Amino acid sequence: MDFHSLMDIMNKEIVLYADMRELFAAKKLIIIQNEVNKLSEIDSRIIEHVKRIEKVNEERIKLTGGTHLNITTLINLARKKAPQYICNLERYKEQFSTLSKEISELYKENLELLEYGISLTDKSVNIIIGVLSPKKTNYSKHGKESVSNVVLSTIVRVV
Amino acid sequence: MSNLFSTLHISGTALNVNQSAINVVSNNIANMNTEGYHKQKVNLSALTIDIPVGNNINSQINTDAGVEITSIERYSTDFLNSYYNDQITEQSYLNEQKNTMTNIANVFDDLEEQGLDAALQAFYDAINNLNQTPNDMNARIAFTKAVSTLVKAMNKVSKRLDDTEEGNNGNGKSKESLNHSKIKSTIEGLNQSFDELAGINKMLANSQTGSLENNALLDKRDTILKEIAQYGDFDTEIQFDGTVKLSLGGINIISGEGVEGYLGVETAIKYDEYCENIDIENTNTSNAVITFGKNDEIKYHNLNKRFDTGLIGGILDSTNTVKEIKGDLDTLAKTIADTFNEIQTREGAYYIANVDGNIELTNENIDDYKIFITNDNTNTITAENISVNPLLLQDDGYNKIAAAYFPDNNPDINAVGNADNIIAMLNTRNTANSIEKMYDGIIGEITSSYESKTNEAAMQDSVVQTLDNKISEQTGVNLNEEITDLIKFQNAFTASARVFNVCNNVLDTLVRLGE
Repeated sequence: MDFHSLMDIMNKEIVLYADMRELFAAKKLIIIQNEVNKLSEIDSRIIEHVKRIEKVNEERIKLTGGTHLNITTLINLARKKAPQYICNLERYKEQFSTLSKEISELYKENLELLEYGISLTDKSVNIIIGVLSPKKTNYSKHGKESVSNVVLSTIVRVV
Repeated sequence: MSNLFSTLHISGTALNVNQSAINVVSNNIANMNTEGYHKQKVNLSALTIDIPVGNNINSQINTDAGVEITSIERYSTDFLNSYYNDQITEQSYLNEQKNTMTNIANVFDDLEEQGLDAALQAFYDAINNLNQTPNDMNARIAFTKAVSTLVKAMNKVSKRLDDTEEGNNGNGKSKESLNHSKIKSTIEGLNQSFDELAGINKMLANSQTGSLENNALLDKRDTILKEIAQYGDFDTEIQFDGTVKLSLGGINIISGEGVEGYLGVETAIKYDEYCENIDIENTNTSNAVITFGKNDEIKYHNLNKRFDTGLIGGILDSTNTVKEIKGDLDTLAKTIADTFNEIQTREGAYYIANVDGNIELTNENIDDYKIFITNDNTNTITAENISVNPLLLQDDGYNKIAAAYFPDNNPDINAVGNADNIIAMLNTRNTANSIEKMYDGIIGEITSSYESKTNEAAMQDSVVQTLDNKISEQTGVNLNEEITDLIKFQNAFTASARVFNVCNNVLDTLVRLGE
């Protein structure tokens, strides 16, 4: 195995995952601020970025003989064949671990915020549709009765 | 921060945000048709908290913890609102002037059948009949009746004009008349608005900026400012906390929660007396005088000049408008009286002295032969005081009408049928400045002024309506727009949710790689 080339590839991967973390953080702010026009833009950038990561992943898998090896395995291999790279690999392991946690957390936060965004807009749409849709006409002995379904609420809960 | 903590906390904050955002949407829709309501939207931001590191409580790190509401933004257009209020002030002024002219025009229109126009016509018809049969008793009686009708018509129009003005500004003398006037109730309404605005200021000072409650108060504030703008040209200064300072031409009326004073109104005569006592130049031209003070202590005695526009300006100005028309009417009355009294009493005019048909000169006790006199012992005839000489209305008073005229002052006893004096009366109809032309001039002036005020008011209504639409476009709730936005959100969010599937494999790889 060409450990020198592997170091180059992993270096690229760390940079790419770090960029991905920044893209996820940017997306979080966009979701929070309901900037839907920017949302599709950041999503496109994320998809492009994922493709780049996948390409580098493929290069690494090719280098490791078509098998996905985790970094602990690679360190063990290095101990036998190229101990001069162990130090670098240990550093990469720590970086990958940190990035993994941070990106996963942002991923979950974004997913949750988006689910609530969808839920919020669904409810709002239903409220408006309720107002726009024709009302049932009720008749009493005095004739037609008009009843508004809209409830005025002034309850505010600020976190 | 653990993933579990993150997830629970974000869920909690998102739920609260969700509830608040739904409330704002509901509020927007519920108030879609509420006048003065401004659309609101929720502004969100990332929530960060400080969490301790290890066991040292003084060592903390700042980390993301979900989402919070920064503010509930109220769509507002301060510049447009200010311009709009200026235009409302002008609109109220022009509409009030239009109302005054409408009332004046109605006075003349209502009396068309039995009013001045018909009375003048009947008066000249009676002169014409008398010209045909100058010594006929019935023609003479008809003439005196026509004179009575003309006088009553003028008195009636004058009284109706006075009533119009009294309804607006009182009669300038009686406090009771002022208390029942439009200016009094208008001032009271304005003072109530001052109290309401001060109350809103107090609540605004104590409410949290950017909350639904605060926004509702700002809506109320703007609605009250719009009401106040109708009354006159007030200066407003919005403070950082949303409270407003209100003043009128440098006089501070409301600052913060307190009302510095209230407007009052006095009769013109009381103001005149006051001016004599303290030697203030009396420049008032209205029956009512606006004052300003608190607890019965008047600080400013004549604010009429500061109300040169708005509803109050329009009401105060109505005095001048009515006075102008009344002045024209008084001139008409005086001209009629002077013209016919002169012909009736001139040298060479003769009346029938007795039932035998003897004729005598009218140049003895000349006032006894006047057709028109005043009913209030004054010398100047006006539309209000013009009346028929009662001697002409006595049983044989009709004989005092001088039909005949002999310029050489040498009457021919056989010339009883001479109607030259009546012809002279009839000829006044054909002069360039005839009485009927004068009357037509007054009617023309009223009609022209009425049309011009109506057009100006209509144009200003249009300006205000355009601005109203513009403000509604920018600040009002548009359901189509709201639902279009929401559907846009739905589509964007749903599309974005699919991106998470794309990221799954890469994240999985990353997690496995880092093991």
